[in-house]
Amino acid sequence: AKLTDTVGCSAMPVAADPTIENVVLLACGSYNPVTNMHLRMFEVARDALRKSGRFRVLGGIISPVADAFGKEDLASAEHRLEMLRLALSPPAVAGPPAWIRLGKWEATRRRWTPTRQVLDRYQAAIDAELTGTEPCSTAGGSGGESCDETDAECIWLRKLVRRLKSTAGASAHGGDSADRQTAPLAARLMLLCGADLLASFARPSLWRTEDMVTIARDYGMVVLARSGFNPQKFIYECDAINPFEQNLVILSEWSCNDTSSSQIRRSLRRGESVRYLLPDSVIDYVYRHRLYGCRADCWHGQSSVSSDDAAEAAVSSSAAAAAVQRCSRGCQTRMTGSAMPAARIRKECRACGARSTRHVFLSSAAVDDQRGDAPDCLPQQQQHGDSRHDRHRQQSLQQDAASVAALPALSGPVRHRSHSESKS
Amino acid sequence: MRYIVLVAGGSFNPVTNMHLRMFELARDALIKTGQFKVLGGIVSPVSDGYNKPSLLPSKHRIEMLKLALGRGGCSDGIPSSWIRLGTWEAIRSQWTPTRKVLDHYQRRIDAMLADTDEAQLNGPPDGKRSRIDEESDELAWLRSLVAKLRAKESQPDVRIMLLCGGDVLQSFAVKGVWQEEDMVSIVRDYGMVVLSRPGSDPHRFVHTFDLINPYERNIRLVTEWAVNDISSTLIRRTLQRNESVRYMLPDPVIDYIYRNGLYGSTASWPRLENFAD
Repeated sequence: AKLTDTVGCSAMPVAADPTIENVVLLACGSYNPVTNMHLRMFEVARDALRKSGRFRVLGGIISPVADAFGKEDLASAEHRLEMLRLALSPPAVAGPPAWIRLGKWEATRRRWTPTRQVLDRYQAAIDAELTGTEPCSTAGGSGGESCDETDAECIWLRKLVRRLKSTAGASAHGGDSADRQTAPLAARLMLLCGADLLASFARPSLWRTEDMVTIARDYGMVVLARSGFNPQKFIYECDAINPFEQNLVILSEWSCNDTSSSQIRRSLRRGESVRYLLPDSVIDYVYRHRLYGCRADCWHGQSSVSSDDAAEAAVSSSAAAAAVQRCSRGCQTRMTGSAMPAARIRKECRACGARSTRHVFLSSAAVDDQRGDAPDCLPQQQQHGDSRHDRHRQQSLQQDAASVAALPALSGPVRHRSHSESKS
Repeated sequence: MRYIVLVAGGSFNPVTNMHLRMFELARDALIKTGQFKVLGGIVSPVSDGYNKPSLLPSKHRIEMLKLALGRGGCSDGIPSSWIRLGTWEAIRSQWTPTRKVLDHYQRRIDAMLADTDEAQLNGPPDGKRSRIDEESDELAWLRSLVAKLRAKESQPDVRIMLLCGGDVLQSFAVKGVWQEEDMVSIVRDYGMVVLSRPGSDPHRFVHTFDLINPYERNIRLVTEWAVNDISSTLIRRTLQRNESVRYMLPDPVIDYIYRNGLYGSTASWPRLENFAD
């Protein structure tokens, strides 16, 4: 990754500043689910910061958002945390322990926590150790939260600082410490984020000005740029953060992987493979817990599944995504059994016990309504009401209609019902 | 219904998540058409005779592929049930044109279907462990797949299809890279699944390239909407610079690279400064 200079020359040349800044990278987000891209961001940031000669990266924290965030298809915090835990396990083979920790504090709160407060909380632990005071006496952890003696990440941060102190102390004793002008020991959190988060600073409803200023001035940011967004230009234009451009590190030309969580969720819904986009252990978890509308037959990870059966399941699940079996006597309940051609599966109505060989094809949106799952792209429920999602929904409806029309003929009577017909 | 075995060639120097992803995307795309079922996939790394400067010996590249596919024995990941390593091409001293690799696997499959498969009749050479044994692995697997298939269908149609990226397709137009008759044979007798990223224009290429245009229905073009741009070149460069390649290729492969000091990397996982626990 390339470390791009922020707009304008630095007023304070880096070379004149002998202190290397000790930082802990903090990333927030939904992690819905965690992907290889999320994890890669940390690796790239660490390498780039180290390379710049300005920073020493002590560690990283991932802080997933709480359920109260209210996003439509947000898996529960319990699931998201567990998937992250699996993803952050150290490599199975002998290697150093993970340097990225999973911060559970934000996720387990009842209310949504502004990012700035998450930074404050972990910084409080660092500051307490630096100054030798108890965390309760420092600012941070608002809302009357009890202090962080039991928070594993706070404990870990304090341990980092203790080690930092002892190492600094050891080197200071090497010379004549009375004459030595050592800069005071410091360590801080830095917000690691994608360009989309930086761009969201422009939306007045999302960020308090005071928070943006604090983040830029007191913490600093590492921004992973993506094509289509010019972070330097944004920093130039944004009054709130422009004074602190020294603290905003932009990494460009890093992105080798454009897979977002929403793309992964889409693929899961469609019965498409998401392998190699996120760790196997996370994919396995998603399928075991049937998250994100994934189809049970589509995880071919287990070698006991023959590719033939799995292929067949994938056909019926993805191409026939809209298949819902209805009782021949007209009961509204769904039939038990999976969405396979009738010739293969015996199906019984839960309500009246009737057997049925009929198939009714509805659009997937109608199916989702029946199931009570919210479709991913209902615009009025989106956090940001982005009209892109409208178009995606239109596209996915058209694609479903096309794929239904293209289905090969099934044995047994088939009744084809269009989306607009009333459901009775 | 056509049963397909996807074959992908290349250096795999080293194998990356992008290579593996290519198989998954191709398979989904074929199945979605409703005309195919994908029996399996074969990764066929090029032999050392290919003579590329930075090409590691096939021994390493094969071992890394085994780890990536979860069959190296030390992986925590779940083995891929449908993608296998094909070593026939890699163990030959000379470079083998792609078309011949496809011919090889198709011939073996045809023999299995016609019950004239030699190894099946005579058994593998006994006694000493030789390179033939490695080859038997993927053939044994193919044999079992074909046998299962024949239990359901009397005359199954099993074809090899070439899996590749858009760059390989575009290389058809570069003089000296491909024999004309090979290109024709590939598109006429086998078919291709080509993974391209958005913005490239493989449709135009197929439209304007006279040699292959007659067989355009055999060339499946798949757009990789979620770009996964992890090239082996990028991996090698990153390793050389002692930077992290994590999450771009499977962990066991990274571990193997570090343990063997390949591609100019340091000998261990990058450690944090000794501040971290």
